[in-house]
Amino acid sequence: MWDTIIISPLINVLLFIYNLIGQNFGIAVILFTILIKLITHPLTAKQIKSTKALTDLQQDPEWIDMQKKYKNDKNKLAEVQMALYKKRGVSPFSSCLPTLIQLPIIIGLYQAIIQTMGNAPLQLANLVSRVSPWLSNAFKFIPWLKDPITLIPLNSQFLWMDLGKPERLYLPGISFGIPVLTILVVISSFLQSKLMSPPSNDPQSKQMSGMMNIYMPLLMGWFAYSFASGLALYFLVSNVVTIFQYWALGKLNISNLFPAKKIDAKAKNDKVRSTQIKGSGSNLDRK
Amino acid sequence: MKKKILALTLVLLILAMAVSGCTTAGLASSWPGLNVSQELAYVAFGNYIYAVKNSDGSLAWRFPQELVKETVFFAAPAYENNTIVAGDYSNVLYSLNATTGQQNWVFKDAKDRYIASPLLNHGITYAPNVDGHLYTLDSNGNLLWQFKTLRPNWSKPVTDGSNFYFGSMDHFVYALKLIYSQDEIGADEVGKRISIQKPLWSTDLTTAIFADPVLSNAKILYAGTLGGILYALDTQTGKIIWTYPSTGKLGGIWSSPVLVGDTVMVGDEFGKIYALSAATGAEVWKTPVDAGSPVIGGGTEMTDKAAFVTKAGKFIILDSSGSELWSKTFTEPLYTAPKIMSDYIVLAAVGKDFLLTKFDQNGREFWSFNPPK
Repeated sequence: MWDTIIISPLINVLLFIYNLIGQNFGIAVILFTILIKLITHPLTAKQIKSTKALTDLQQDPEWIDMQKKYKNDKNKLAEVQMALYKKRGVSPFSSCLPTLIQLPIIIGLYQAIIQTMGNAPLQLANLVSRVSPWLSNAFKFIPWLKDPITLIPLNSQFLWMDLGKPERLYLPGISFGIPVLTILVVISSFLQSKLMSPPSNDPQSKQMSGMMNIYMPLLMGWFAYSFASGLALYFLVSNVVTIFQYWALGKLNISNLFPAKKIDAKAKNDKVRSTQIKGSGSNLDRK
Repeated sequence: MKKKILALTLVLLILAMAVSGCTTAGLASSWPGLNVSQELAYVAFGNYIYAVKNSDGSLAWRFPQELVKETVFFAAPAYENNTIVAGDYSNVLYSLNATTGQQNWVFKDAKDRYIASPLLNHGITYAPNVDGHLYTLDSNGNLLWQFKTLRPNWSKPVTDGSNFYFGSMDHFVYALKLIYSQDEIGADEVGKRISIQKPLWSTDLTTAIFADPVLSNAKILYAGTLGGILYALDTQTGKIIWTYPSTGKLGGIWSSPVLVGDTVMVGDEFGKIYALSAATGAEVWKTPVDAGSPVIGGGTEMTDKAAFVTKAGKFIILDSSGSELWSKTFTEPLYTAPKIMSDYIVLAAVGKDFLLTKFDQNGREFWSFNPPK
């Protein structure tokens, strides 16, 4: 079921792109990742918007006050929180739904890339059993398209890399290989985590996101170092495109990268907050 | 807070395991490679080559004796005159004493894995490699010459005594001489005189060739392709004598065709077995035999009969009319062509029940072999 609905179509789309662009698997992985990101962009945008609304709400003075007021009464706190969600038209689950819808596509994309790079007998037998000419047949008018079965095994050479193997760049005079792609994946994962972390005044949230900013790049770097470089290329492109998506939607937190600016931003936030409190008083108190 | 950190760490660990699980690193990526001599069956699987006694299924020796994690064998060992030669997944080719398992020599110049079984002919080894070369070594493991193809090589060469033939992933079947004089050996990319520049002939079969070609007494070479076409080639010129089917195509052909008298049988990825006239390619059976699941491992000739194995674990003996004489279904997938050992059948399987088993043509099992832990 999973294979039929998700993996096989994705593999065939990837093969089609590979076929279309003249059999360069590196470019095919890059275009494929961008294509899937574009298709899922409306969901990503919705998720970003919902997350932002939720984060804004959690920085609202009314929210902060109710946390303090009902810190010893969890049931009451939940009740007033729900009331505030309703009042502001924010659903606490609205940011999860787009992610949940995207998750099978992201996992499928990842598995499709892994399976397409298969270069051992069992892997190739598995790949061949999934290949279908439906896309090539649908685009028969493109003269250079080939029967996809003639493309197997794929040519996995891209720049200095064999995308079916972990990547190392060997330079003259250096006795070891430099894992360039791993370094790029770590940097881009770090940037992505940093730039996407919403500003928060909650010390617990700050600590959690601080840990994520370290753990995730290291984890991704380990995958990139150990597994086929085609996968690392996918991680890198995916990170770059995600950062671009956040930038395009104006949701990048550049201030997270620069401590000086961050202090300025914090001061600005505090100022805004104190103005809001002065201006509106506590809605809860009024209730 | 501690709970949250614990939860976060757990999520990351699960993610790491999930991602690792989706890759194929560390898993068996192929099926056992099998060959037999009169006394021993040689099976290459995982970290070892096992030599198993024909008489009782006990282990005669294994190579290497101690575990070397990087050493992984799947290519069937080639056998000749008490020597076996087998390549591994860490780019090394080993020559071993077939009786004792003692190492004769190693060859480490290849840049990729050995998936094809090498050809051994009068002490000379012809070893196709995934790095797109075929390496030819003397009886001490020294490189005599090499031949470069455009893509990886997975098919075992076959010889008629003066030339040899092999298929490549680059879609071509190549014919080369067994012996080249020094004058015929040219320079490689870095100027070393080790390279054969031009084959006797090469023929483009339009899709990748995984399966080992076979040669008839009439000097016709049969090669199946991933594109689902069986070709009959003239070994003198490389010209195509016939193709089957003449229009359309079968499922991908992963295994060697089987010659039974004047008939050539071939199984495909769709689980069909076809019988054709070896001379003309005309259909001998009106309808193919439905084996029920992909025929990846292929078959072997058994005096007027042929035995095939399927992915679903079916072992089937067919007579020349396509009638099923006997079959047995194992719980394990069967990807390796069976071997005949003194009138008995030896099967290798990917699975937990057995790695190797021996039975007679009535299905009576003599022994099963599982590697020692």
